[in-house]
Amino acid sequence: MRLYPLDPQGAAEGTPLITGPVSLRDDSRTPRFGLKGRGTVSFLQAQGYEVPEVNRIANGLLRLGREEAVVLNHPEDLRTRWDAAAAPKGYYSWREETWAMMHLSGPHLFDLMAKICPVNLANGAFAQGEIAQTRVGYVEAITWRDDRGGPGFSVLFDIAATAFFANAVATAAGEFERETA
Amino acid sequence: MKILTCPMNGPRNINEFQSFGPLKANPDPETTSDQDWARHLFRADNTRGVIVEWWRHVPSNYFFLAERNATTNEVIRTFDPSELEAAQ
Repeated sequence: MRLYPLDPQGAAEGTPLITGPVSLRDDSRTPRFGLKGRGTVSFLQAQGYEVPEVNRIANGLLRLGREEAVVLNHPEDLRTRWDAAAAPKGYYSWREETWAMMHLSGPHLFDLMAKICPVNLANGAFAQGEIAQTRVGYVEAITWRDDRGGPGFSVLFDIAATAFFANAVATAAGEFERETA
Repeated sequence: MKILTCPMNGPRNINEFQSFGPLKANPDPETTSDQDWARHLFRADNTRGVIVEWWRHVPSNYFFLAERNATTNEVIRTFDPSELEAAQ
């Protein structure tokens, strides 16, 4: 069984995820199918996926480069189909193991994003379906608008930075906690 | 903060980028002497004026080229490497 950083015995065990003015949720356990290199786009298209433009997300498929993509919550047999396909089909980039995935939401979401991300993610400046590959919370990250009930952002980043990222978000949100207290 | 425009990601803070030095022609392995190989690998010309350099946007691991004036530090343009292949 795979051990994620926030699991018992994981490298970030016991790191608190902030809730309140901003809520941080760990989605690292959700399936991610990543491919990179020549043949990536043609393989995904052959599987019936609509591949969007670079730095766009459509139906859970993130296009991160000319020949780089990640499918979120993919069907279980996609890996089997990829194994069986003929090259060129990209190479497997192990995004379910190498990346953490977290979700940010809450009443001070946009104030927080303005503090921890240099790209303007405000309503009107950053649309649904766009992807920003940049820095979030001092960590190289990929982020996009992911509303669940209220506004939210999903973030992908190096899984080794799990505790660092959670702490950076909590520190940045500290001022909003004092405001609401 | 200085801003550099990435051809794939748009304008970004300079601290999201890493420089990989001037674009150089690849030496012919059949005819190049050891001394010339060493020079190619380890020495830079440090040219003044307009040069073409390799840069990488780190969060997206995207390599591209920038035309920069090494005297004034003005970036004239940035472009995808495929432009270079198309010109050859």
